Amino acid sequence: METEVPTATHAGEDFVTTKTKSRKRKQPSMDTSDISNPSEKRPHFKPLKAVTSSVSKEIRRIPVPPHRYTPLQKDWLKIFTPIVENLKLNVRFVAKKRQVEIKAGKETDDIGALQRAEDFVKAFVLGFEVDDALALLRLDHLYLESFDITDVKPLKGDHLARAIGRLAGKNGKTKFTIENVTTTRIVLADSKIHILGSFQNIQIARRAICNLILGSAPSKVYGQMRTVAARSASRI
Amino acid sequence: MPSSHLSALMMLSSQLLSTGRFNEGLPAFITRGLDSEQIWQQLELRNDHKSSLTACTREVIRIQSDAGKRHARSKQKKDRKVKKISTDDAVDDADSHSSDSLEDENMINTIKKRLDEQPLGQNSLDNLCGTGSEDSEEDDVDFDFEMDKELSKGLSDEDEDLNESSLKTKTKDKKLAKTLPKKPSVVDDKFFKLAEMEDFLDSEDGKEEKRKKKEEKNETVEEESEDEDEAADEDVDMFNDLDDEDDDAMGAMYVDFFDPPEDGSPEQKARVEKKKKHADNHVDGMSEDNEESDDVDEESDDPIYGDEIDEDDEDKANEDEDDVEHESEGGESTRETEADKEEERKTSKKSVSFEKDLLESDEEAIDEKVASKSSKSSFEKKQEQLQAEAREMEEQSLKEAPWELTGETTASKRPENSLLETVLDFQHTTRAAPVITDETTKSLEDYIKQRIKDKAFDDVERKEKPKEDPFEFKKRIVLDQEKSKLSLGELYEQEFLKQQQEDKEEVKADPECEKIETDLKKLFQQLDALCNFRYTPMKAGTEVKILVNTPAITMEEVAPTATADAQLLAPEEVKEKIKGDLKADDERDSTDKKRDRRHKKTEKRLRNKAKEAREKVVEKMKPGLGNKYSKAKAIKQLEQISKTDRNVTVIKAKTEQVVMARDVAIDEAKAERVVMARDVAIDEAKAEQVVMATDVAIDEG
Repeated sequence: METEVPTATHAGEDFVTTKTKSRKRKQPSMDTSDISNPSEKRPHFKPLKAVTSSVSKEIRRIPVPPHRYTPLQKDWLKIFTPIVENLKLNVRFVAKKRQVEIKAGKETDDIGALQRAEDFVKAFVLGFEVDDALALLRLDHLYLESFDITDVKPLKGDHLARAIGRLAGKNGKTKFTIENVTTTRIVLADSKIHILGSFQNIQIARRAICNLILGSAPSKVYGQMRTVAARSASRI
Repeated sequence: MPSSHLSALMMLSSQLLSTGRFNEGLPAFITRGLDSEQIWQQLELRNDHKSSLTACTREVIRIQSDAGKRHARSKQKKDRKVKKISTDDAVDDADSHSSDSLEDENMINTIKKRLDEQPLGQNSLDNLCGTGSEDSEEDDVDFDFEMDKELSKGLSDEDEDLNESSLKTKTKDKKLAKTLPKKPSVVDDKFFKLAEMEDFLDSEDGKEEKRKKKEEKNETVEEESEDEDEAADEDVDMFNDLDDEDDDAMGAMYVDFFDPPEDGSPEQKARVEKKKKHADNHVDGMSEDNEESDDVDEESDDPIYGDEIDEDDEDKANEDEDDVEHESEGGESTRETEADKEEERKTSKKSVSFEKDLLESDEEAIDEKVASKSSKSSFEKKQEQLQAEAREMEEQSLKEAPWELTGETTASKRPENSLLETVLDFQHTTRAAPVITDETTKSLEDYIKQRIKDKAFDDVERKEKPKEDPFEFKKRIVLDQEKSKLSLGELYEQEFLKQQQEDKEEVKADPECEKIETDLKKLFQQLDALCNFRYTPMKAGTEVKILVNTPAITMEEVAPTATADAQLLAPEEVKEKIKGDLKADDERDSTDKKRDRRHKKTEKRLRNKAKEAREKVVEKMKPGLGNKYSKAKAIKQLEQISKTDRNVTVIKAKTEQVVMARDVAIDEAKAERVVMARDVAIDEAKAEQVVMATDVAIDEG
C-alpha cells in the first residue's frame, strides 16, 4: 500500500504531488484506514456511566416540618416505593433529624433520578398530595413555584387573613376552580403559595391568584377562568 | 498738332463712352500713335483725380496682368460710393482738358448728355475691350445690379482710397441697390440674403477657375503679382498715412462695407424712402442751401458724437458740397478748403434747426448717423445705448400706465377679456379638481385588478345581534368548583393518552374505514349538488343538563357543615329578567299598553297554532270522535251553542247534584252506573242512558 501511494519523500521521480497549504492549525493527520490501534491515534472513551463517583457519594436531605410528619408517616409506603423501584435510589427517613435522605446506589442508571426524587419529596413536604407530587416524578415538564402573598402586596393582619380567605373561597371552591381550569395544584400555606404544574399553567394560575390577592372579586376571576377554559377546550 | 490732340482726345472720350467708364482712368494705357506729350497727359488724367501713387501702380499692374479682383464686394461697394462723383469728375476732367476749344466743349457736352441719357444696357460694348481685367471685372460684376454693372466698370480699384463716399452717393447707391428686387427666401434675415450668397459663391467659383488658369500660364509673373496684389488688395493702405479722410484702418465699420440690414419693417422702409429722397435730391442737384441745411440738420441732430466723427461728416459734407458747388473748379483736392469748412461747420453746429419733426423717431436719424460715422469708441457706443435706454424709459414713464399696474381695477376700466389674456396669480382656496388622465385611470384599474386577485373586497358583512337568552347563559361553560377527583398525574396521563390516540387514529389505515369514508363523501357530494351547494347547518341543539333547583348545600356536602340559602340556579335562570322599568298596569302609557296587547296577541296566536297542529296530527291518527280531544271539543261547542240558543240544553252527566236529585227515583243500579260514569271517562251511550233514565224519572215524577 505504501509503495503504491507516492508520498512526499519519494517525490521527484514520477509524480510531484502538490501540497496545498492549509491555514488551519496543523493537527496530527488521521489515517482512517487503520483502526487496529486506537490507543495510538485517537482517544477512545467508554460510554458514560449513569452515576459517576461524585454523584454516587452525594446524599440529599430533606427536612420535614412537624405538620407534615404524620402525613409522611401515613403515605410513606406510597412515597418510597416509586423512588426505590422506578428510580432505583436509596431512601430513608431519619427520625431523629426528621429528615428524609436520598442517596444514589449502584443500581441507579439515570443521573437525574436523584434530583427528581428530591423534588418529589420536597413537593410532598410542602403540602401537595402524594399523587400530585408523583406527577413530578413521571413528567419532566412540571415545575414547582412558590411565592408569598406579601410579595404581591404588602398586607398585614386582617387584610392578609381576608386575602387568604379570598384565595381559598367558600369551601375552597375558588382554589378548586383555578386548579381545575389550569390543571395545576395549589397549596395555600398561611401566607405562602405553592403552585405545581406545567410552565404555562403555572403562569395562568399565578395571574389569577395575584389578581385575587390584589383585591379583585372572585366572580371576575371566575369570568377570566371561563375564558381560559373556553380557549383550552377549543384548542383540544 | 491740335488736330492730333483733338483726335486723341476724341479717341479717349469715345473709349470712355464706349466702355462706360467714367473714371479718369483709361481702360488701357495707350502708347501707340501718341506723342510723348499725349502720353504724359494720359498719365495726368490718371493721376489728377485724387489718385495716389498706389492706385497708379495698381493700374499698371492690372494692365500688365489680368489679376482681376480678389475681393470684389468691398471694392464694389466703395466703387458704388464713388461712382457718381467719378462721373462728375471724369466729366470735369474731360472738361478741363478740353477747355481750349469750343468744339471740344461741345463734344464734351454731348458726351455728358449721352452719359446722362444713356441707359444701362451696354453689355455689348464690353466685348470691344478685350482685356482680361475687364473680363474678370465682368465676372465679378455679374452678381451686381444692372446699374451697378455699368457703373462699376467705369471704376477702378484705386478709387476706394478716395474718400468720396458721401452720404448722398451712399444713399444713391443704396437706393439703387434696393430698387432691384431680389428673390426672398425662407432663410433670409436682416443680414443674410440667400440670393446674394448664391451670387457671391458663383462669382467666387468663377474667380477660382480663372485664377487656376492664370496660375498655369504665368507662374513667375503671378508670384510677383500675387505679392503685390496681396499688398494692394489689403483694405489697409499703408501709403495712406497722409490721408486723414480715409480712415479705413481706424474706423472701418460694418456700415462702410455693407448696407444696413433690411428689416422689412415700416421704419426701415421709411428710412429707405427717406434716403432715396435724399439721393434723388442730390442727384437732381438740389440747391446749395437745401444741401447745407440738410447737412446742418444731420449734424446738429447728433451733437454727442465725437469730433473725429464730426470731422468725417464735415469732410464728407464738404466733399459733397465741393463737388456740387465747385464744378467749374478743377479736380483739385478740397483738402485745402477743408480746414475752413471745418470751422464753418463747427459754428453752424450751434444753430439747432427745428425744421425736422421732433416727433419723428430719432432712431432714423441716429441710424443714419451711425451708418455714416464709421469710427466710434466702445465707450461712446455704450453711452449711446444708455442714452437710448434712458430715452425709452422716459417715454414709458410719461405714458399712461397699463391697467395691470393701476391698482384696483374694475371690468369697466380694463379692456374686454383682458383677464383671460393675462397670467394671474392668486391663491386657490378650494382644492383643485383631480385631473383625470389616462395614467390615473390606468393606475386605478390596476389597483382594482390587484384587489380582485387578492380577493380583498370591501363587502359589508351582516352583523348579528348577540342573543342573550337564558338558554345561552346556561349553555356557557360551567366551571367545576369541586375538588378534582383525579390527581395531577392522572390528568396529564389522560391528556397524553388522548393525544396519542388522536395520532394513532390519524395514522390508522383501515380499508373498511377508508371505504366508508369515500362512500360517505360521494353521498354528501350528491346531496350538496341537490341543494345547489347551499348548505345551512342545523342549529346546534341545546344540551340538556338537568339541574335540580335544590339548595346548593345539599349537592355539595353530604354533611352540612354550614347552612346556606344560596341555590344552584341564579335568579335569571329562574325567571327571565324584565327589560326596562317595572310598571304597574295603571302606570302604563299607550305604547306600553299596545306593546302588551301585541305581546298577548302573538302569544295567543302561537298557542292556537300549536294547538291546531296537535289536533291535526291527532285527527290524522284517529279521525272522527274516536279520540278524547275531539269529544271534548264537541262538548265545548255544545255548551257554547246552548248559551246562545234556547233550543239546545246540555245535560252534564258529571254533576253530582243532578245525580242526587234523581237518587230517589232512580234504580240503584242505574245510580251506580251514573256514579261509575262519573268516575270513568264518560261514554256517550251511557250518558244517553242516563239522560233517558232521568227523563223517565221526570215522567214518573
